[in-house]
Amino acid sequence: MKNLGQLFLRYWDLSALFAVFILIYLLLAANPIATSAALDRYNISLTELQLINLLIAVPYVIIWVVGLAGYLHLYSYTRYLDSGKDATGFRRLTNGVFLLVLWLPISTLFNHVTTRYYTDNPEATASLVRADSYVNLLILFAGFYLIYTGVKKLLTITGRQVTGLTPRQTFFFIAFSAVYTFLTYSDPARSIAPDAATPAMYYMPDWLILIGVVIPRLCMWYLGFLAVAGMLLYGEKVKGAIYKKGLRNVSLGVAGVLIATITLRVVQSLTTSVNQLSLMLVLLLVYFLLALIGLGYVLIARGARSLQRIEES
Amino acid sequence: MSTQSQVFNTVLSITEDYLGPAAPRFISRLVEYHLHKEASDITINDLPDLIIWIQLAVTVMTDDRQLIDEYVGRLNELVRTRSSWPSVRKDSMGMARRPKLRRQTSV
Repeated sequence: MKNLGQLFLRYWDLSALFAVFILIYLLLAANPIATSAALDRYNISLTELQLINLLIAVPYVIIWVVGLAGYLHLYSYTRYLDSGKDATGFRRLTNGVFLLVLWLPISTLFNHVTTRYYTDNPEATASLVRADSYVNLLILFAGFYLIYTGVKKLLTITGRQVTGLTPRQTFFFIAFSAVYTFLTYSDPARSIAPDAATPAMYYMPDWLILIGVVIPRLCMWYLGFLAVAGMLLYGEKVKGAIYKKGLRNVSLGVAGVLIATITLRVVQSLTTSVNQLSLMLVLLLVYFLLALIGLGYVLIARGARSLQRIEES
Repeated sequence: MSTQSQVFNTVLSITEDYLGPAAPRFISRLVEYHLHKEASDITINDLPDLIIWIQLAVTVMTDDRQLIDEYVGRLNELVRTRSSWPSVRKDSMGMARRPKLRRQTSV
């Protein structure tokens, strides 16, 4: 814990930024938007809604802090790599991880703030919902792309390259894409709001949902899967018995964060389907995915510390 | 290739089996900090001292005794086969001990 405190102090600017994010989020969570339709849907009172919001907020905040710690450990290690074949690859990978860590609070806060605004200003709903989609897409796409290019660079050290998914993995991805596209277009609330309390998912015509949302998301997730495969391959093929021990945790951590983030985005983008489930089940699913993301960042932190010991000795 | 750079490259090649891409930075750092010369300028005469520092550093990185002994053993073998210097002996704690220098007329 002492080391963690020192880490946050060393990078006080980023720590302060996240502290501000956390404060804003907790304030927003403690003052939820309570429409009668929303309360009726889950059959709860306003106080219960406030408690639930705070209960949901606390794990999110914990994951933000864990994510920040994981990134700062990785960044700390990468700063030692001024030269060497792995320097460029790790720098890009670290920048990509930074965007994934930043996405956590920004996506949540953007969603909360825009929801509050269009609840009071319904004419702005369509624009803000579209903006929310694209903010998430842009940050994650950039993060996934940087991680992918970083992994691609690291793989050149082993004399290998990212050649694509295996036939079995490709089949899985095609099946996943088909199911995701089907569920997206099965959502009757994708273009038009189903009722006064619930905004539409995209406020776009079907063709624009396809080229502006579905295809970019699938491309992004494909890059993510390639990065996972590449990272695990690098960890397996790179030389250095001691180096590999530290790298293993970083590889597993990055892979875990990517898979869990993709899954979380899938769940978030299929809100109508997910809303058919009970509130408890939805909460458990979200908690589980957040815990996976947190575990990924813990592994990244542990691996980065082991690798840093090599550079400090 | 000069003898000096050959020594560096050979040490680097062995070290890469344990430290992978971090090997060049590791060896350069140890040579510059402890032997006060450029890494590419190390000679066979520098190896015994370098091996001591390598062993100390690697002991901090890992507690895998077998791996450490294997790494140091390979470097010791390098010294044995490339010069007439005595190999680096270990004391009762298993730590490498700096050998007594013997006057040599040729390497």
